[in-house]
Amino acid sequence: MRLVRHLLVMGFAMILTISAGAGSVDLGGTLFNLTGVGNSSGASPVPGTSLGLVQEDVLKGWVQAALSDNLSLNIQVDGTFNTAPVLPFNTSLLYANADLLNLHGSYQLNGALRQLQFTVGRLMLSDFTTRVLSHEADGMLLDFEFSGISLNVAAGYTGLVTKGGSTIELSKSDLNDYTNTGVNFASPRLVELVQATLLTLSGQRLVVSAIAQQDLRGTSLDLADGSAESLVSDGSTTDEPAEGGRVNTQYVGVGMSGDIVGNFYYDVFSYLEAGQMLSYQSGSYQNIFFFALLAGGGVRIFLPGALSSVIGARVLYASGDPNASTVVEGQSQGFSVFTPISRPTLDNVFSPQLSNIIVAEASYSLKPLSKLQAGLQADAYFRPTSGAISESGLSPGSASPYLGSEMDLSINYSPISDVGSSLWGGIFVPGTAFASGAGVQFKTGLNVMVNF
Amino acid sequence: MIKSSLKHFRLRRFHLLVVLWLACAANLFAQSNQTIDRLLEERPATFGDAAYVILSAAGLVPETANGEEATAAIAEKRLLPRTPSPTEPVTLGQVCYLIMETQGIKGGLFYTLLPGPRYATRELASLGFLKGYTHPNRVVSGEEVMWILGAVLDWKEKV
Repeated sequence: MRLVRHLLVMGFAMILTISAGAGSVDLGGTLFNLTGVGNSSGASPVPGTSLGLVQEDVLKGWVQAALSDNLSLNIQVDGTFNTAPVLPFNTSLLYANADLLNLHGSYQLNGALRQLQFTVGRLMLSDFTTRVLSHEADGMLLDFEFSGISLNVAAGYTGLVTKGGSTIELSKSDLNDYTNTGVNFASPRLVELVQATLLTLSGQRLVVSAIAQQDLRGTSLDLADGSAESLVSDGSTTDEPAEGGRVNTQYVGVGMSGDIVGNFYYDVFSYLEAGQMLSYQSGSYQNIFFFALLAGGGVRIFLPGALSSVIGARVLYASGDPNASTVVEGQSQGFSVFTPISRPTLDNVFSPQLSNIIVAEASYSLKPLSKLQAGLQADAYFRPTSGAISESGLSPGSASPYLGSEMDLSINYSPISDVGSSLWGGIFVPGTAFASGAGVQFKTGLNVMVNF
Repeated sequence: MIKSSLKHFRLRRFHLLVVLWLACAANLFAQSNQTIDRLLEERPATFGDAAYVILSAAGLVPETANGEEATAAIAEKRLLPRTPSPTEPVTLGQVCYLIMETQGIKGGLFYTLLPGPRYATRELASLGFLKGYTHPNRVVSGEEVMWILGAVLDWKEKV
């Protein structure tokens, strides 16, 4: 923690020094409020049985200082209060976080390399699908733009991000930290990303991506919590179901997207995951290796003449493990549960981790007025194996693959440029995989956002 | 001179500017060629020349006016909290605010409550008319002044 304080002081001193020499500066903010009601709590053993108010307030402030035509300092901090956060949290949250705190440079060049961009500091790291990695980190991003090829190279450390702003759930220690009020920071991991985008002549885009993350718990690079973590060790003969070890994962992905004909578009992608972790097998903890798969694809058609309608369909598959009692450190065999680094949000009500899941989705949106947009989305959820999913409430003995279906509706209205609103709602009907007590879950609310 | 300016334009990277320029040509061709040519070369643009093209496009100063007269008109109408001298560099916020006020563009909530260069810049940025840093206190080139004015006039013709 002492090191964290020193880093913060040094950071603020650096910001003041750099801002003082800025050529031009702008600052602003955003006030966001969500008020709603629902009975959905994925952490409940019997979801859909208790009604509650949903309240979320976020105040963001940002500063951008142009140091030259090519160089800028970007800062964005926010404070959040949330009575019903998304999983994995099950309590009210009040936290502050720095979303951005970085130096960004952009340079036009002559030659094969047409543009070079860099970002150093707190930044958002994302893969091309945002389903494996979309998380804040402290590090560096380099972007090389050649004619026809774009190459991104990035590395970052997640352990200084505020816990409330994190969605990393790769180990049991990560989950334990979310319920431990004494822990303030996110899971300490080093994340590396290399991504190449190739633009082909016929409007097709091919992306190749490689991502790796190393678990730094219990090492000197665990800046936030140091040696406070309780980790199981290789060879230990005591089974500790609530504790876990380090989990390292690597991902190699490929994706294609583009137009099929006219306003008809498609995208497909796939990620192969390799992972290393400790598993209690044959009376002791042993290092195991596993592989897993994430794949998805979708089509959508734009109909500009029909109220700017968009009709879409999408399928997602994340592999599972029939023997896993949990998706976190539940891997028991060579081809097992897929575990992304950050957790994506799939739906308003039922939004499981992308592990042991198949999602089939259909959507329709239209824009009847320039300031009004409406969207309808239906999702059917299945599990590819009879193993656990991230949500509780499944029938213990059931091997049924059908998890349930959800219907979401949203109406977005922006009457003026700096005010936006969204009226939204969703209803989830549990499938045969859920225990008999699981009820219909719903959530509905109104979002209002003001930029100043 | 106008022809030579247009030829010079085509050599530049901002091809869209030419399109926008032509779109608002009906308004601008009648203005003083000399002032427009000078403005296009200015880096940064002077307040007087920027004020002239903005007010002239709205018909608030005659074609025969110059930068000093346009600046005087701004001071007389109290369009800005403080009217700079005609030779001072013009800022992005001043350009956006003058365009918003002279073209009668309604802004958002904060522009209505606190009208001025800051929220005028936000408004035109939200409409997609600004390039680069959208900082109100950034000094801009004459070419950028023409780009923004051309984009706004083109947009106004369509809505």
